[in-house]
Amino acid sequence: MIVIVSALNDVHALVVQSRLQQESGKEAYIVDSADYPHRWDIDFTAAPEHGSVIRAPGLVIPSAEVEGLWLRRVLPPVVSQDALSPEVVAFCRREAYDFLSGFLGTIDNTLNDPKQNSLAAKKAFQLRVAAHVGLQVPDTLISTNPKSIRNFYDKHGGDVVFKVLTPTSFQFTETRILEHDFLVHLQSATLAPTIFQERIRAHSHLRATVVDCDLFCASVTPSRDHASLDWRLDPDPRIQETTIPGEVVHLLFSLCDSLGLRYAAIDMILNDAGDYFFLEANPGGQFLFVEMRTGQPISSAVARALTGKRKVRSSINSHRSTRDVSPVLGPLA
Amino acid sequence: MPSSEEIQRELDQLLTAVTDESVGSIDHATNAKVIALKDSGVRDKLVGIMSEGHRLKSITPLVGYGASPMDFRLRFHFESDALVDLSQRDFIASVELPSKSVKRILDDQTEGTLTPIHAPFSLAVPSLAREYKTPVSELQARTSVERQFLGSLSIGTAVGQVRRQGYNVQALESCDTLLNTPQNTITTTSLATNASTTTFSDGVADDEQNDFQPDWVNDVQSDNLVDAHYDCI
Repeated sequence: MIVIVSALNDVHALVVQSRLQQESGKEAYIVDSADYPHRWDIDFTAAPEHGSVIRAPGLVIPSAEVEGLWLRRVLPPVVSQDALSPEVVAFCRREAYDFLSGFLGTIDNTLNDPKQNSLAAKKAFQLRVAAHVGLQVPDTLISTNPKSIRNFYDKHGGDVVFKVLTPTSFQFTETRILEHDFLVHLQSATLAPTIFQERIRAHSHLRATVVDCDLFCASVTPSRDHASLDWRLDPDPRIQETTIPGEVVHLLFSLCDSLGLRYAAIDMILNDAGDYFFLEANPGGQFLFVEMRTGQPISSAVARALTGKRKVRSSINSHRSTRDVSPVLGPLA
Repeated sequence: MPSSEEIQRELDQLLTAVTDESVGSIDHATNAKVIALKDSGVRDKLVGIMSEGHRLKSITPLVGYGASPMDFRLRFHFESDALVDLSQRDFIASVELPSKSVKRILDDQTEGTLTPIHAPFSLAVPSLAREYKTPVSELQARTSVERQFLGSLSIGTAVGQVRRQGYNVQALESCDTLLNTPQNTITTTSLATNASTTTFSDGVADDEQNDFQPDWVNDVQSDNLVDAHYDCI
């Protein structure tokens, strides 16, 4: 049995569920963490021999029978607020969160390991790790200091972009050019850190999706001028399968190993000089928009990973294994 | 003079048109118009003015989302066949995009007295008005590809034909609905937008960068917990 944690109408989860059944004959069950514990629940026992049990409508899953766990979208538990004070609601959510995070961490063959995933998603950490493994990274400043930001702007002759560190649910916060007119607003940068990077002019935008030992690379070409910097602004860009040099593939695998990620959707830029620049790695990034247009079997690779049939990256494992790297900044500094 | 019902119908038509326009757009002004035209307070004020025989001429974004990022202002401007000064009729709806609600309705003259709510640079500047629009008609190719792909897996277009029992029936139904209902970029709730992921970022939810649960992190922080532990889901 495979368990996928996501919203019930998550298309990615449904596609992988279908792949599992069609290609491996494996049953996959989607549970929504937002529905825990009022629509499904867990009995956890500390002694491994006694096991734990996931109970969902029409199904009881002993945790020992969970071959793979995909933490596709872990939505917050929803607690009915009727007749409960806000403090009690918050407490219930915290308790549910605390238990779920601990329980999910006990499952083997998890995509991605939640212990690694959270830190790996942090932009500052992944940028440092990317540079450490040898990937080219745009000159970057993450700061709240207006003077430092202004100096960075001047250093690059104003050819600078900026973006947020975390997603927003209420507005689109695209990557933008740091226009001179924006400098008057720099004082507001003291409220929250911002990522500033030298602008890399793209010959191609690249999306590399890593699933264990598989890497699927596609070029993303926006058709609209306003999306030339951030292709997400074009809902229908041209997406084509492409290849990248072996040494870059090797570096991306090294990056994922160092971050402890079995799955990552990595954004890169190829400039006119033929240099590949790492922009960011999304541990929960989407892949179907690539698969649908390129035919790359990414969902099958995810399904295969969840069944525990992991291929071995022999060349990479000799370089660094996921278990060897401690997720701390010290050794990387 | 038009009746209240006639005006409501006219406003419903306008709302439908603006909503259609907002699908596929990452345009704060358009989305703010949808929110405003759904608001009962705005509707009441519009009906009151239009029932005097005045026509709604335009809805114009004012300073632009960014000068006061949580407070997107729309000016409602009217016209009339009669030779009367309608400037006093103009009003401003202050739309709070994060909560998808109208925060205040103000007379035009008070516009300058609004107190901007500060927002950090990384949020405020990208909020400066830019019209990123992709007409729905131009999304049909993408929708067709998605439909064909999912249909080949018996997902979305064939509810009940594949093995989905109990808990997952709802998932397929939702998926089917999803395919038939293009998403608005902002008028859907953030949770629904997050949950109802299509295959591609639709803009607002920015699902692409999912750190498992950004809203959850916010909630935890609001509970005065420090999100310093790295083993969170």
